Amino acid sequence: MAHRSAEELEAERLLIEAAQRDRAAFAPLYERYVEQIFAYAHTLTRNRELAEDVTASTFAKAIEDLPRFEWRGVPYSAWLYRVASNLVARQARRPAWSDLDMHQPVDEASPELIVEQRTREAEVRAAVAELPDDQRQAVLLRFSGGLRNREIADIMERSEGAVKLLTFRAVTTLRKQLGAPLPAERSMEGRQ
Amino acid sequence: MNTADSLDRALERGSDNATPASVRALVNVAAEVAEALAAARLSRSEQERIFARSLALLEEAVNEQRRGWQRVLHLERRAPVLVGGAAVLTIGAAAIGWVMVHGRRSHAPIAA
Repeated sequence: MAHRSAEELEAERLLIEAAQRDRAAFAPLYERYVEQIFAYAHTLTRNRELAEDVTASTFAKAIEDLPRFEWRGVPYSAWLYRVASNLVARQARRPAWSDLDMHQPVDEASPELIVEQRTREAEVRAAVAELPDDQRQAVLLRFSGGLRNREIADIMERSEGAVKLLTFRAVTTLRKQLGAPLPAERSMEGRQ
Repeated sequence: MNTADSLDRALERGSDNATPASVRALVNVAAEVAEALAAARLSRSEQERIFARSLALLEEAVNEQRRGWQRVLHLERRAPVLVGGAAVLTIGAAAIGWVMVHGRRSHAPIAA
């Protein structure tokens, strides 16, 4: 996921201001981020029900704190991820989590292709879920949340250098775990 | 530049001819991870259910706050009642005292 441009950030600032004036205007922010926060919580907790709880609590907190929210030029999602991260950490002190089975969007491709694609995506997510906590956080915030190292460092309370290293280690582990050739490489090989 | 920096740079700006093959392979992994994570979707009804739960949690928090304030206010209400009761007793005692003193004075000349 690409980082947000200055124009996109400005549009987001306007959305937040609109929601601060009228809570009903919070819907576009919710719709923009609910799936990201859910995916983040689900990969961290590995449990759909818990992930829904964390997502609901994150947005309840978001609405509650909206009047006091101060725009600092970083994506609103950075704040949401921080809340979700704290809630997950709190949940982690409770009994163990179990499943990891994401719902998939309905696709119009052939059933075989859909099955192959979903299987591979599930493998990738399972591999991400198996990463050590800090590496998993870094990967989720960067590749799902589209946040910058500085923003991730802020959420994780680590240095930017540490985040860079965590991302590198995580991607290296995933590369080993998922095996090669990966679909992207397969298509490149096909072209050669 | 070490490999972690090279990967970071390639993730930020994209790979080019100068990007080592090992780093390009990692960029491909990263792209696949991003795609797999983006595929995690919630249906419209699931989104609505989660939002309804958020609102319920918010309402619960507001009610809890309200109950907290009510507890505080009930405690505060007791103080004026005590002060008022004490004032009534004082005024009552003063009135009895005044009647007793005034009564003795008014009866004295008759007795004389």
